[in-house]
Amino acid sequence: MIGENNPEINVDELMAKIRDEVAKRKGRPQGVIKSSNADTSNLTLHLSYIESFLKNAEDRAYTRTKWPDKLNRFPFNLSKKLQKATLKLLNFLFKDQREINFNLLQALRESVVINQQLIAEISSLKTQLNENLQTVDTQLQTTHERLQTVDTQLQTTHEHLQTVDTQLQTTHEHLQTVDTQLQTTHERLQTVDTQLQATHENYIRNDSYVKNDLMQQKRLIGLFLEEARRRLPAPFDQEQLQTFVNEDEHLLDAFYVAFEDYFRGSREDILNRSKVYLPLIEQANIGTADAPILDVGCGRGEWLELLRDSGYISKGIDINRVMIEQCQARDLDVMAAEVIDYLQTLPENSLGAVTGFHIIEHLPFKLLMRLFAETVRVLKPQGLVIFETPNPENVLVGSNNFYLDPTHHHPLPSATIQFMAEISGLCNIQVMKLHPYPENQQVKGEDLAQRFNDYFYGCQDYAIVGYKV
Amino acid sequence: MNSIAIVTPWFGKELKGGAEQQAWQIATRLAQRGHEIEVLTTCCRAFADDWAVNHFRPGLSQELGIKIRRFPVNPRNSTRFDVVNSAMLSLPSSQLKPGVSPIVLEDGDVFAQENINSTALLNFLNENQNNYQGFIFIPYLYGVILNGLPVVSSRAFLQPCLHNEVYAYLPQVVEIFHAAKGLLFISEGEAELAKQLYGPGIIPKSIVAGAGIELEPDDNTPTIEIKNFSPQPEKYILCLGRRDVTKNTDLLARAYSDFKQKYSDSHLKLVIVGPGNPSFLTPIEGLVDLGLVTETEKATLLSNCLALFQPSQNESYSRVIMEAWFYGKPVAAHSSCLATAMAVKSAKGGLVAATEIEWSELFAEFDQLDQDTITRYGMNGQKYAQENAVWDRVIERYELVLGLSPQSPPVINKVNSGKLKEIHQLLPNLAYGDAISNHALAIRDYLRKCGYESNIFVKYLDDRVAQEAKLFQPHAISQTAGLIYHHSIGTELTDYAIAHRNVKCLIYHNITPAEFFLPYRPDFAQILSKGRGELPQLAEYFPLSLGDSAYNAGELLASGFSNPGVLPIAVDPSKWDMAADAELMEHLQDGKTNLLFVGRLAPNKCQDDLLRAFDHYLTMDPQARLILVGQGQPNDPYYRHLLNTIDKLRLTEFVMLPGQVNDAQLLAFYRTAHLFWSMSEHEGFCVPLVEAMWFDIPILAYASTAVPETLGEGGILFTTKEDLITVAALAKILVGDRGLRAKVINAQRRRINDFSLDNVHQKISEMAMRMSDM
Repeated sequence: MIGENNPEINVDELMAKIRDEVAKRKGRPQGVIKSSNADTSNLTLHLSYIESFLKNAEDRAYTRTKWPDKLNRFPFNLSKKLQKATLKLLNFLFKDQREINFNLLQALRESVVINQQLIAEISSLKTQLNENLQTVDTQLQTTHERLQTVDTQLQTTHEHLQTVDTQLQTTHEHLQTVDTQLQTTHERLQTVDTQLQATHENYIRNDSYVKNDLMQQKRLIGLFLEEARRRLPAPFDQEQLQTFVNEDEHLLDAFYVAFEDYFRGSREDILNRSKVYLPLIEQANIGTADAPILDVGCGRGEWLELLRDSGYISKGIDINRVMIEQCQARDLDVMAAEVIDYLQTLPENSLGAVTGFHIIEHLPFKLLMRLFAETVRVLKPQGLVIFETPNPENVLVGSNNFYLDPTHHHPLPSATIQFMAEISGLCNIQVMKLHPYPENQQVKGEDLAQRFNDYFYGCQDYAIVGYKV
Repeated sequence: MNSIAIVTPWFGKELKGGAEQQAWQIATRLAQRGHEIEVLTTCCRAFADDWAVNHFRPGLSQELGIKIRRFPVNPRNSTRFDVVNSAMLSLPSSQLKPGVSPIVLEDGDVFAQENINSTALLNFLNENQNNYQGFIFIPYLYGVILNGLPVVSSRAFLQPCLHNEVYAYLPQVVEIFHAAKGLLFISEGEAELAKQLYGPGIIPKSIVAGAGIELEPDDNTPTIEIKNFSPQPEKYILCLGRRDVTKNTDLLARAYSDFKQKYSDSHLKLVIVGPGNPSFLTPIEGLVDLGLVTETEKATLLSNCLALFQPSQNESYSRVIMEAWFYGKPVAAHSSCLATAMAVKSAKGGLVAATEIEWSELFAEFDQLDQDTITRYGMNGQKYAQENAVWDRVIERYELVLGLSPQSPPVINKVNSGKLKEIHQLLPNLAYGDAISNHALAIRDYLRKCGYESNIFVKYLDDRVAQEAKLFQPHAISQTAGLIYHHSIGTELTDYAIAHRNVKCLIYHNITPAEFFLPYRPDFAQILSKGRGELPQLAEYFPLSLGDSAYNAGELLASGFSNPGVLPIAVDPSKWDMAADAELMEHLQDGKTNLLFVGRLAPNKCQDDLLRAFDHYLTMDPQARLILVGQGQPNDPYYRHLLNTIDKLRLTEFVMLPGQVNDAQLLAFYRTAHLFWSMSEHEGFCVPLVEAMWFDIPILAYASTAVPETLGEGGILFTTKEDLITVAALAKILVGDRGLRAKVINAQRRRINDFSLDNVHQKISEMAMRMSDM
């Protein structure tokens, strides 16, 4: 906008200075706001034109009393008198016109005054309106600024929440990791627990074996020392030596108890299995004082306990002294004795029943025959016999399981035992096939599978039940 | 009749002081060149003597071929004088304002009347003035001069030996400056000071004659030791002159001390030489105070110094500066002293400084200047001194001014040798102060000088210029005369001009386009429209045509005129060789910013835009006033519009509408204006622009029509009015930015020469010759 007429003046530099000057100006308080008047200034301008015209008209509308200077020369420069007369004539002629002129002037003046008032009012209204608008504007601005503030705060809050969210997620993941680790730990602990339990069971087993064995050893040593003291200073004779040698068969008593605990099954299992025979006892109407029940090879005394708890009178014998001590600890009526030797000491028809679980396979054939014979002798008529033994019809039992116990002689097929029982004079003999493998271990299917199951997963034990006539 | 009188209060070879020496030198040297010289002086011996005591016997004596005529001095009331004088001297410089009397008028009279005076001398002047070709009054401030010059003003040359001091502001002094026929200055600075104090009206009659010094530098100046100081091996700055606080010697000593603190390892010394009682000079290492020395010692010191420092602010001419330059030494001067600073700048013979810090920096600068630059400054100065300070050259200029020079007869105009004997001008009206009227008068005067019979004929004649023209009557103009018709708006004169049979020339001053006036004065708009409409019809009748400007000539060409010429309007500052209105001068120098526009209050001048822009300006400079000089009629709708605008913008107290003003008032407005501001949208030439340029007022103008052409490189133009705030800011900068002002004013000073009388006379001659040849 600046002309470049003077080459010494740098116009760009000058424009920069101007901008500075204008910027400085903005910082200063502005005077009265005059913009609102701008719109009416045009009207005012036109009014002032009208005023000037009116003034002009007014100046010239008055009665002329003086001869115009312009005409004061030839040929108009008349004598004073003539001038006066001419003026009078003119004034007379234009009297009406003057009146009209004055009236029009007056009317126009009034109109100008009204217009001026109107303009003033317009101006003031505009100013008011502007002021109001400005107020509204200011308020709107304030509101806008507040909203912006709120907006900003909301945004901040939102961001905070997001941060919290993220942290929570992280925490959650941490916790999951911890959870997983805890689970793993838990599983390990369970494993450890299981192992510990196993270890514990092992320990208890070993502990009880060691304790039993130790007691047995103590008894034996006690026995030796007693005998020795009694014999001092003379040497041991033959009988004494025989006593010591007889004690030899008890050396393995503790071993056998441990063996039984390991292979025979838990006490509870055995007790439950034995319940199958209780109906027989009840039918036979025995177990009373005059018809007591004798359990030979009573072992840990599960059957004796069941009988006692069922209200029957019974007695047990076993050659294993450790077991006898265990039974005695349970207040069962037992005694350590050789089965044949003990039966021989009983009178005829003195017992209600003779039972023996997993005893007969431990006896050589001759002793087995004598067992049957002695049993029949001591039983009262209608007296009951129950002998349970592994069932060699099951191939697994016959070929393997039977031999787990090194003190077994040989498997006893049920037919053999049934025959021996009949021969011995027992009647009404039954064979109870017992303890098949659980069904879930059996092979699924029809005939062949059935037959295979019979051979391999069939009853593992049987009992021979008979009565004295 | 051929003798020249030198009027001075004291005269004698032995008198010291610049003015006294100047008077002696001029008298003796003019006499030596064979001129008849008389010195008119008093019987008082010297400035320092009692001005009421006649030391010499009155009467004529002769010395070195000069007639010395002494007159007895008047008795005087020295007590009254001393009271007024000391009151004047105690005034702070801030109270001194050009055009405003520093004291009440009665006291001014006391100063002039109780000064050194000689009624006998005045009587002699009055009675014998015709026996002398010219009078030289030296210097400006004594009674003999103040009262004597007006007696013979038409032949009086004033050699003022002016200083910027309280006396220079006295109305009596102002009067003699304007009354004198010519002004002789010793230096450019002195002439510039006079222009600032008395206005540009004195420029045409001013001449810088200069002053010589009698110094013949001898390259073989012997190296001697002066009071234990050996100039030869030392590197030193020399300060020569009275060792005095008024000469700023103390300022220089402090500046040197400051310099030594900053540059302790510098070996540059300051050597102070001169009379006076320098109690302020405390011993500083490196400062050598030699007091009074002999001429030989001074020569030695000058020829061996690094540079001369002249710190005085109060010099009309510094001899020592010229002396140093004769020795080829650079000079530093005080930038606030016009006389010395202008000489240094003009000669490019050194540097200037003002404040103590600047002087201190100047020591450092000279200490580090390379030898080439030092030599260049010295040589520039030497060249300047040889032109301005060599007596033969100075006296030649005196001879020229005084009309004593054989090769300087008054410029003889080309005498009319053609068949044409009369050239008259015809224009609608001649008014006082109007640009076209002045232009017509200038043309008439010059045509008369050239030997033509020349008159101005008008339809309407302003009483104030009734003597200058004749009322037009049919047949008043001889049909054998040449006719210049000034065409502006349509009048019945046009028909007469067309009917004129002999050679005629049309001068076109442009006609404002009607649309500017249409909303305000439809009747006038119609007249303007008619005037423009007539222009093409005139083309066939006027084989010769001229426009005030190339812009106007362009319009002529467009209207069918063949080969129109350009005759710019001459602006002769001589018309302002008068005192400005004192009351206005005082009122307008109240510290406020004066923004001026001069021109009729008319819609094309757009004063309303100026008011609106000024409204913005006030937001940047609340201490401002807008002055709209120009005629306006109360009935004129545009005038009313301006009044309304002022009212609406609440500018009443900020705007001056002085109406049409007289010359003294206009002079006051121009002399005090800080800015000339035009928003005009139509100008055929715009004389006020040229006038403002003469007054060194920076101009801010809207670039319309002929305005850019008239301004040339001067002023600052803006091309749009869309953003008045920016325009106002530009105005503010142009008022306050010294650098920008200087650039604008320099360009304006160059431009005004194109509108000088000489330049326009040349064009009038050409026009007259063309008319004669047809």
